[in-house]
Amino acid sequence: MANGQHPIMKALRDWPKWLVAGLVLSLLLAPLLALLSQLGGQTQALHWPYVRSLVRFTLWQALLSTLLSAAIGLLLARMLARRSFHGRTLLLSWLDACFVMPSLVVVLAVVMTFRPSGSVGQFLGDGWRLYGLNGILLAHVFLETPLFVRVFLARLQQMPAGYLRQARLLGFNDWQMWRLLDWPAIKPALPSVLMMVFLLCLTSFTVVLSLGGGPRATTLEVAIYQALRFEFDPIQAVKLALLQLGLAASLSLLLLPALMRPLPASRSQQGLRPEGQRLSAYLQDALAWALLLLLWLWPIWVLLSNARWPLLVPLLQDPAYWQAVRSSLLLGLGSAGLTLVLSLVLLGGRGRLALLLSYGILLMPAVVLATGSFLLIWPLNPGAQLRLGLLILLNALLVMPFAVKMLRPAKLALTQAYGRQMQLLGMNLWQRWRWVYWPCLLPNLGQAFGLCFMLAIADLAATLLLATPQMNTLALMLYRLLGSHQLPLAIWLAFSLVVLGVLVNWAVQGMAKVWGAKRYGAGH
Amino acid sequence: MAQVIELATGLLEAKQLCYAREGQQWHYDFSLPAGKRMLITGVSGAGKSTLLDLLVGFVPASSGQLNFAGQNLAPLAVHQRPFSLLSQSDNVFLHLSVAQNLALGCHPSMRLTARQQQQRQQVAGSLGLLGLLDRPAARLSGGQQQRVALGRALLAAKPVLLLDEPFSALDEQTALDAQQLLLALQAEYGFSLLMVSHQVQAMLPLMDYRLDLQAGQASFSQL
Repeated sequence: MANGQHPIMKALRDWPKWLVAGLVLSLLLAPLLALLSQLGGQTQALHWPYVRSLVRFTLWQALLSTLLSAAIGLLLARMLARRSFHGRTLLLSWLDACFVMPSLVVVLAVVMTFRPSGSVGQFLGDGWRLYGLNGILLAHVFLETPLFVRVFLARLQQMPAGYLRQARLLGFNDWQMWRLLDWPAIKPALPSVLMMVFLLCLTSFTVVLSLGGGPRATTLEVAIYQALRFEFDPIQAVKLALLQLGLAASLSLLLLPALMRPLPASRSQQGLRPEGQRLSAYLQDALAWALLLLLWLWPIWVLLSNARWPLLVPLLQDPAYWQAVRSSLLLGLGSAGLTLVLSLVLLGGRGRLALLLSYGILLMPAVVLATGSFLLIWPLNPGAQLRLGLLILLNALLVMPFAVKMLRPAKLALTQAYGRQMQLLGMNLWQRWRWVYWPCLLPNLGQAFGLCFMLAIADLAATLLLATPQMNTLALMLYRLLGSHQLPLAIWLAFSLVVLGVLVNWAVQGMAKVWGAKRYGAGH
Repeated sequence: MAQVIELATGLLEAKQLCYAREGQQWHYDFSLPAGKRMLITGVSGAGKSTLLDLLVGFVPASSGQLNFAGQNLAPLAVHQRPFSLLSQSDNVFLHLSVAQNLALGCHPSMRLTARQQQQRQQVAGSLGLLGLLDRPAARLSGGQQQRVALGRALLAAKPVLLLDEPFSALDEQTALDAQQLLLALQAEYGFSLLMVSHQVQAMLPLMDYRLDLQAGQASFSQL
């Protein structure tokens, strides 16, 4: 070999990566096999009309949610790209926060705002029904649009300033701007973000469970849960799970080549966009602002304004509340920490393995994972400790795609900038991490940890299946209060979840900053 | 000042060295004696940077031989080969301090012996970096960053320094200063030098050899 490296030696050197990949794969597959073993000789057929309506609704709500979020995201991103105003940065941070907002908090806000007696719902006429497709779409749009805004805005802002100057000189109108500049800029990023959001909506559990409307507005994921928990029918559950898996897998296989392709990098920052002064631009931006107010600002204001102080004191004196805080904290810290370690090992090389496994995880229904794992540990007569441990493991797995999504581009950029130097200097893996990846990725690691923590404490799918009635997390408590329509008290639980997430985010990112500055100077 | 860095010396030879990609072929033939300077010229796409990648080992040769001091370089990994490389940009780690960047040249673990620390001080001194040792490289000017990279290359004590238009991103005066410094150091330390440059007329009088690349073929001449 010209470079003095034999492929077999290289594979051997990468053993930690393959070990972790094996671990993740077995964590994904073992629960599935455990469930399959329940099938035994059973050949009872599925009730097809029911399954058909399930599949249809699952795909339909995911498709509508994705397209609506993408369209609104595009509208918002273009508005943000051409306008500078006071509070723009704040608004962007707020949208980022909405993306990681625990789904149950969003559900609560949507319910309080859009129920027929709610502040917006009362204007929507007699025919308005929140539960069902409407509620699901509202919650999904709230949660997923910010991701589109981020991706689209980044693409628009990376457009070379020269293009915009030329567009101005040539007098492009809004439509030409879109067709000749914006669309080509956004297009390469589309398959991956559309697919990600589609998969998230396809396997969405919390939102559909809380806002779905009976058997006609239920997705496969929720039907699997209902089959397991209420109908005690693991066979039906396995069949539905396989169906969902097959559905999601065949859809993503179609798009896999596009998903694995790295985005073309661009550097330049943009100048002022030329089309801001036109009437059409003002109209679009007014619509963007109206949507922002209606969907992202008003519902949260409704939550804030409905908080009742007298309810807080008894809650803070309730030992069950503090037990839930403790479990949530353990769950969040454990899952986020574990997932970062696993992702970092998997991200060795170009990180394609991490990406592939991520999509595998996104495809796997969380309730299937939880149920299968539960079957596996059942013979051990699991106590609260073991259940929490399993919850941590499962959530570490479930949030890994997000960690990979955040860390991989940053690591690839570093390899691109410094890979040759590191090779020339003969730095080994440890030295590369010690001196380059670790210090440069610290801020990204802090952010990824925060995001994973937020997602893990909001988990309901795995928690609902594994928790005992005595065991509690903040999300579980909130869900139970929602179910029993104790909305005013639920608001405080929602706040607790958000405050916990914000505090941990703040602490971790602060630590990353201080540590980075102390050890490596202020250069980064 | 007494010389504290010693370099192995030897003849660098490329014999019918060939690189093929996408139906195109590049051939290189030259032999550069120890301590000499060679200018590599040619239009864009003539294969100048490809030659440097071949030498360093970033890309494998399709055929031919590459020797240094009689030893075949083909089986050696990138860091085992006798080359340091300076490109237009991305030569230093921006988040590390000047001292740390230099230390990486001595050893990638950054654990330096007393002798290596002395070497680092000496090199920092001769490059005018002594006052900047604690500063992160991100807060240096482009010219200072290239000096750090040069210092690190010296500390790595590789007998051949490859330069890929290292000063093209600098302003005229800074580039001129850096170039003079480079040639002074070359005379002092005695490493061989291969430089890709578009400033043929300005550079030729300073060089010993020229390798001109045209249509995939190299013509090697002594100046």
